[in-house]
Amino acid sequence: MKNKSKFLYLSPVVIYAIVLILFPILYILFLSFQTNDNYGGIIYSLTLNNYIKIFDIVYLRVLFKSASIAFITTVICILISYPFCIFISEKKPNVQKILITLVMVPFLTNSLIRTYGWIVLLRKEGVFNSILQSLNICDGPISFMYNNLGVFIGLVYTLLPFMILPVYSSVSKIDKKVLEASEDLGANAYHTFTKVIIPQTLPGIFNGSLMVFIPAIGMFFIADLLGGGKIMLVGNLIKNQFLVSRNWPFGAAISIFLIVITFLLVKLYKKSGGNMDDLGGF
Amino acid sequence: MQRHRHLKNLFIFLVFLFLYLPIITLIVFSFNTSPLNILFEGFTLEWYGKLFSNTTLLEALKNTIIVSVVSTGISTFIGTLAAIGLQKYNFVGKNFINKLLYVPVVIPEIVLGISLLSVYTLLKLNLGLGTLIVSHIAFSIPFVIISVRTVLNSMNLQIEEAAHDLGANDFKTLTNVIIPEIMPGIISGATLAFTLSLDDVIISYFTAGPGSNTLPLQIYAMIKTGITPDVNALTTLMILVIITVLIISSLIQVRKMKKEYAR
Amino acid sequence: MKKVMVRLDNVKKKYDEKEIIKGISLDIYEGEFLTLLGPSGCGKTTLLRTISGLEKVSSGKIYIDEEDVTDVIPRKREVNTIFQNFALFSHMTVEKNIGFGLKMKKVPKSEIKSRVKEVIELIQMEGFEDRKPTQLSGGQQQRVALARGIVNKPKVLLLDEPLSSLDMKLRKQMQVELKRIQKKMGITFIYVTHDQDEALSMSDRVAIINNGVIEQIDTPRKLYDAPKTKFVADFIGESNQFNAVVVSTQNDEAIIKLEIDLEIKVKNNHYDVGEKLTVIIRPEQFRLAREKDITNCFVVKTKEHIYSGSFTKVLGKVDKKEIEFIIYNDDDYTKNEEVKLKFSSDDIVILEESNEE
Repeated sequence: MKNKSKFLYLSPVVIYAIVLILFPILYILFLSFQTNDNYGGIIYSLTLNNYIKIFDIVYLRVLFKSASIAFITTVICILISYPFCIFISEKKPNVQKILITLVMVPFLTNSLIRTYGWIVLLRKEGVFNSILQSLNICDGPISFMYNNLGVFIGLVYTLLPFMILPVYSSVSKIDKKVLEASEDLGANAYHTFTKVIIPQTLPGIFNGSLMVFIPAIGMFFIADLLGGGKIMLVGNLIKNQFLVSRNWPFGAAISIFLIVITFLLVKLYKKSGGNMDDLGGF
Repeated sequence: MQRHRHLKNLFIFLVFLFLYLPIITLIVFSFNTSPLNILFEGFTLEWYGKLFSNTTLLEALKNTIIVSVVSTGISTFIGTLAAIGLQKYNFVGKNFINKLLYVPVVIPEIVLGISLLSVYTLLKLNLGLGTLIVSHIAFSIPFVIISVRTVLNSMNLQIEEAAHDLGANDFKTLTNVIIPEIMPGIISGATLAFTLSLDDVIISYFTAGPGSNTLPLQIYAMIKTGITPDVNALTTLMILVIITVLIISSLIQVRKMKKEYAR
Repeated sequence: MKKVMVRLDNVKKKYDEKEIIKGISLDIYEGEFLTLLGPSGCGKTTLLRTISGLEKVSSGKIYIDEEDVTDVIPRKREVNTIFQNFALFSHMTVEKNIGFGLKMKKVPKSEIKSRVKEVIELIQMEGFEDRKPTQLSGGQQQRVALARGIVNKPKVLLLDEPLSSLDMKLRKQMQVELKRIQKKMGITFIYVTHDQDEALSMSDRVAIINNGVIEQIDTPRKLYDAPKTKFVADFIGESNQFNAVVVSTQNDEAIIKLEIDLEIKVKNNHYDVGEKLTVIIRPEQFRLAREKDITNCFVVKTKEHIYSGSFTKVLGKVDKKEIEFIIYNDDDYTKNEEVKLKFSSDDIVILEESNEE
């Protein structure tokens, strides 16, 4: 009887984990060693060519650019979230609750809709340019989008709450008494900040960075819509291999490469004392 | 702590402005007579009327709701059982399964999207609502498990024994005691799954087929070809629904809290 | 002869080859308040859980009301458990919590209502029916947990350190309360604790458990006055223990030599010369001695005086042996570096080596 209920509880999740997680990943691992023919078909072989191709200067450039965009996005998110969370944590508890809920509200609407909102604001004939011109601040339209700026605005906007939430939860966990103790022990504001606050909130920052950096590599639709197709993220590269140039084995190889990088980052996160459940528990 | 209070409030305000600007813009333009969205010309409800005759958009909305509701239901069910089972039982490979469950949480969505696409192609499955639902289940389950597990971990383990001790069989213990005890975790897991599913672009992009466009995909296509103002109207309506739900749920919470403190 | 309600017959429990309970046999009578007392890790909670069925025995038999329940699952046993941290269902009201067991047994609703009402009166918590456990104080939660058990009128109620999470004052109150309810309901209580005061003040009998075996089972008074093992003597109250050897015997008197190089005269209990004994003297069994060399006199070098209201506890040394004794504060005593102590050989306990394993 015990085995029967054990089976009932666990068989769905085991089947799920194997069929919908393990198998797909093993399959693209397999694909990544194949060759494609010119018509999008797959020739079964065993080759490392797809991995070697990643290190081609053309693709390396994309990887590097995408990584630096993701990195800068992460840094901007930290720079916004950190003071934001500290200032919020100084409010009364129920005000804090309301403000954090308000952070979440926009993100309950669709990210594409919100991206579209940015297009309305940023484009050449958009709201910003219209206002600027009607105030005669500048002559011609300013290009807010179809460039790096647009991509940064889109990525930061879309990923900001993934930084705010973990940072806020670590900031709000700081015991106010610890801060008082620090002042009591003669630390000035700067020292309290660098020696007490920062170390205690580091796990939250790290958690948030992981949740911003990794998706930022893959958000092809932001680059598509706000970068105007001029900016290639790794996500765009993979998407193109699968849907445009139909070179699945190469796309699979890049994906495996991304998985490896993700795992390395997660390892680092765990090593620094991060809890895995915090990553998915907003 | 009170130093530079105004500066701090200004900063908070600016961040919120940043967060809400695109949404406010869309709401404002949903009442704009000019279909080009460029500047506000005059007030109209025309787009709300048009919305209800835009079958493509409504079809996409319907698909989105079907996919979200079905995938949330299934992943909440499997995820809740799994969280309980994984806490309760040991088995060979449990550690491995636990590790696998984090994969959809951490890897870039696009990787999950193309791997599922590859598998569907391998199995010669036609892309459509079915594959879309399966894919949404694939990324939702871990989030449900994590939410439920958080509550389970803080639950007093002895209540299960207490239920048995008081004469409840396994099934009654599950339905009358454990599930109600972990309900907050189940609800937050389901909410998370539902939100993620509503919002998903990347995975849907690869796993939807012709005729199974979801709202995000439809809008994606429209942004490229030309968006109509009824999308603004739809957005406004959706935001209205969300805010109503939020207000109702917080009112319920407040009432509950008041009831508890009234004693 | 009282009726046996619970009978344990050579119960053993092993976890991964480690024996937690090493063959315990025990009869518990109807309406009795029996306490399983022992240090943490001694197996007392495990033993309790074998009675509730939450733990399966590795071997041996368990009878409840003369019925063999060894292989009966927990919910089919007519026993209920009060858990250490109450284990109340946090989503249910007080009333629903208490009525849960009856509901599971498909008792008609009207009867559930009246029986729940009855016990709520018994635990004096009228007016709290609709509260959730989180809205109750620790003591109230404790009462609800108790009510949830007794409402089912179990043949035996098992209590697993139920008071350990309460503060001192509340604990004392609840001890009285528990005893009152037990008497009123007439239910057999089996109570697990590591707190000897609790055990001694509430129980009809106490079973001292150590290392998976029962060291001694007796009334609280007997455990204190006549411990049967060194462990019991040490565990219940304070004691000074001395290794001793019988030097000579003479009719009803025996001379024995303590490890501190002191010969004392005690009652002869068929001792053989050379036999090894353990002498146990409670701190309060020492009296101040006036004359110099009466028999059974200790000369103690004092080290520390611990004032404690009506008495002062004194720590001292004879030879290298630590000694503890009590001076009542109305005694004519001034702090001294050296004190002479006497005791009556009628009071003290002498264990023969064969009593030990």
